[in-house]
Amino acid sequence: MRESLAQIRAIVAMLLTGVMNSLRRRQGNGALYIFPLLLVFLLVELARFGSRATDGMRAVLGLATPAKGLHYASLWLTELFVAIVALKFARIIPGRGSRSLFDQPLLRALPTHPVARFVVELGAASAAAVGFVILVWVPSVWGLHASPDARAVALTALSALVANLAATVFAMALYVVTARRLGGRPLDALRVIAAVVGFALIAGYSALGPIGAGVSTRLRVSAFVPAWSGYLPMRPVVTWLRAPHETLALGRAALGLGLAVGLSLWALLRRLREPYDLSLDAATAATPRAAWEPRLGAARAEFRALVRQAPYLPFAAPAFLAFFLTLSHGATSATGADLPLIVLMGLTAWATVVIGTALSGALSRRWRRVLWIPSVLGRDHTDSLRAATAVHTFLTAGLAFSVFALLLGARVPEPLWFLRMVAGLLVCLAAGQWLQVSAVFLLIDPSPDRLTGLSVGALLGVLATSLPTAALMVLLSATPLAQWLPLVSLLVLTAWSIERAAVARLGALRDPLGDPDAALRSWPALRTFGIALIAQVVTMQTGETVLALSPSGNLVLGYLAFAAVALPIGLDAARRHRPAPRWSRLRAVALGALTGALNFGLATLYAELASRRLGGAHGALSEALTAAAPTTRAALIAVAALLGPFAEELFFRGWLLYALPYDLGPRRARLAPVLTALSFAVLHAAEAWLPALVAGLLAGLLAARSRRLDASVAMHITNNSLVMATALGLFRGP
Amino acid sequence: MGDAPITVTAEGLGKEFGEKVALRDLSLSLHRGEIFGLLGPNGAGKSTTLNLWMGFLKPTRGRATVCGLDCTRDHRAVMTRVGHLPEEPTLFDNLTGRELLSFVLTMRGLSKAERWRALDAWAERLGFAADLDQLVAGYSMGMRKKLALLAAMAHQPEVLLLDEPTNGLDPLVAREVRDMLVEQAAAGVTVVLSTHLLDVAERVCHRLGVIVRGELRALGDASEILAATGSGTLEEAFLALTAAPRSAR
Repeated sequence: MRESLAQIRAIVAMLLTGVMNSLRRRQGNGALYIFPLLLVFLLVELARFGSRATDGMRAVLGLATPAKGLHYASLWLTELFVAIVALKFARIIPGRGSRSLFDQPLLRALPTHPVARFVVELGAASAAAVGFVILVWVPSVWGLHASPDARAVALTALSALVANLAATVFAMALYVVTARRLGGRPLDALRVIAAVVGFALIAGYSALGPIGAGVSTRLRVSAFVPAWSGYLPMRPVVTWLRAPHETLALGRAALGLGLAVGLSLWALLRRLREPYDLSLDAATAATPRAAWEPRLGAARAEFRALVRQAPYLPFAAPAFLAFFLTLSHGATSATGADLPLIVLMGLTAWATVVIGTALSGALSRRWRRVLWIPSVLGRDHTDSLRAATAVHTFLTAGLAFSVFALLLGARVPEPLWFLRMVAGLLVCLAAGQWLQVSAVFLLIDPSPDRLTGLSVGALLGVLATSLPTAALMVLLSATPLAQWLPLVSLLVLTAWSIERAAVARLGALRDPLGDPDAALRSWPALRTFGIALIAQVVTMQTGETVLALSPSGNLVLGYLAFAAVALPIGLDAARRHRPAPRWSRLRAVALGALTGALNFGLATLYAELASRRLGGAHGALSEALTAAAPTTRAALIAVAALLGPFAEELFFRGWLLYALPYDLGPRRARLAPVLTALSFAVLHAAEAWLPALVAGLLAGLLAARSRRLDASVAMHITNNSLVMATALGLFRGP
Repeated sequence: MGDAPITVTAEGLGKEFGEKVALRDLSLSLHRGEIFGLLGPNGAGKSTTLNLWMGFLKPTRGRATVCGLDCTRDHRAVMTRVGHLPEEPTLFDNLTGRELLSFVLTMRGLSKAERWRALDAWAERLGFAADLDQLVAGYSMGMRKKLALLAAMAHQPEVLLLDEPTNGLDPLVAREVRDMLVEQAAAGVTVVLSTHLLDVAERVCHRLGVIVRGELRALGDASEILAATGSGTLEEAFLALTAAPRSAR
């Protein structure tokens, strides 16, 4: 005993010394700062709502003033930092090497007493968990303070705790089984125990959520408590607790829960008897039986591989169904809504998860480098991939159910609202999954230690997923569409940038499946295009509805948003595809300008023929320009005549034109200018798609013939300048 | 050497990772004061063998013992008698070298003042004394290796298991390390070192074992191995053994 005490003391002292030393020198995991950044944005949003939001939002959040919003926001931010510090102190957030404490070769070679080891492991996991508990504690207490019915709040919290513990234990069972299947050493068991306790504490934290939510009218504050808190068969339990004579409700809840757990365990046990196929190339190894069905065979093989990756996904279906049925009963009694409607909603939520997961799995094979980062790690990291998939799937399912719970928490006012909810759910699931997987592999050195690493990954994943989801749900339920678009756009962009960072980081790793030119392919290009487009549209939406900008100011903003997303990546790609030019620069520019003028003539003619006057866009542009203040007008001219053409050409003719042939193959490579022109037309569809298509074709032709970007840039600038000149009335007759 | 008591044994030791056989039926006994060199190409099973003796891995078959203790069953007791230098010395980056060694001494329950005298002397010999108060994060590979070596020897172990001890060290320090190992052996420590540097093996080791694809293909002192393979130099012998099919013992 004395020996183990001395060893515990030595380890703690060593860790503290390390922390003190590390505080003296700068160190940190850059990726971590993404989360606070995301938070900051959310908080700004909150504060904004405090001052500008609709009455609905004020009523829901009780954030009547920006000060209150900021107060809430700063609390949360502080808590997040506390949590991160706790994780760091516990050395659960990996530094260089990312090994857990007892996996360090040095410590392994020391005669550590098992008791000392256990205590330290437990302490580390608990410290992390406590950090997360703190994360929610302050807002919860704040919520409790405002709640009128303390007894009901406490009961809700208690019941949520129990249910969360059950769910957590089940999750951990899956986790342990997965880990063991992955060849975890017996020593890992200790760490798993520590992790279970840690998770249990986190479950406690999520149970505190309902305290914040209370049973007060401020229910939706709970949306800011991570998704787990919405756990489900709560209502019947609470109903029973408040009115014990309603034993039927409890019976139903118990039955459903029992059924769910039983089925899950049954599925798990059943699955255990069958061998897993943990090899990454399971799908590629499975060859179709007949030559005439390669596509079908490949799809089937991919599905099988997916099932192997997330083996309990299909088996868990009955369990989830049972959960769901329990819920529906509770929900009907609680909200008074029709059972069929609730069933429909639940099934939609469930199907969304299953389909979403399946889709992301299937897409991953194509977007190895993009969406599903682990695939890129190759066979050496198969275990990480499997474990991540397992954790990921479970979390996703949990997320869907919590979202569903939120859906139930509110009454259903109208069908359109429901559709918006479903759409929102899809968006946030996609963004959340993306964030989550990227976060796991951005934050974790993909090498040795998977259990600890994945615990952190999972936790951060919960954070990453639940934050945007929660925010979205609040926004969805209380505000018109335009209000939450900026948030969605930010999420998409943040997800994208995180993913880019992760990919960049992985670029340094050995990549057996890799394709050195993958970054130049058309999928990344199209994705960038899509994101740039979303950024533009959404920014303009925001400009119009929230910032109340003038039309011209808004146009400038939209252009800037597009350029901000497309320029950096477009520049990089264009730099890499630099074919030997065929024309001199002078010739390229001259012919480009000439073609631009020709194109403008054609477009004007088209507009005349189409409507016997200048096209709608030109008319609108003209009005916007006339109405704008001089500086805005100058900015708009600069952006539309110079920056816009440059960014667009860089992207379409500098990148996409050269990226497409990679994927089209040599025979269809000549389609590249046409496809490029088509996507260019999509970008300009709002103005006039046909002239844009023609302009795109001409620019593509110019770029392909001259092998110089100058030509198409010159053409584009000439054309746009003429458009602006027309809009300003320079060519108008007397 | 033959009269000295046996300290390290392997009895029909085998280790498989799934279908991959990392080590196959290894049997040998090492004596007190012996320096034994495990030779073999990369991935031959040298580190696996050391890890089995360290008790980090559980043998699939057979038994490994150190000082009469079963390496798997009596793991902790084995750890008190063995010093280990891993191939990649991952250390606690946020500590200084001195703090790290202190931690090791505390964990082993040793009196610090007494052991520090020896450690300081060794650090001096390795040209490392001045760096002891720097953070490990700033160490070069060679410095990490030196620190890990000091940590392995801090408790005066009876057996030293060293994975590539002279890799990444400059020639001067490498020679100093070799000398230290010879001294340790003379003082009765059994030293097992895994290496693919043939001259180190030839100069320092009393006996050599050549492992290829998990199989011990040759065992004996350098001259015995030369004779068995009919080679003029150890390098030729090594090449012959690694290239030859299984029956070429």
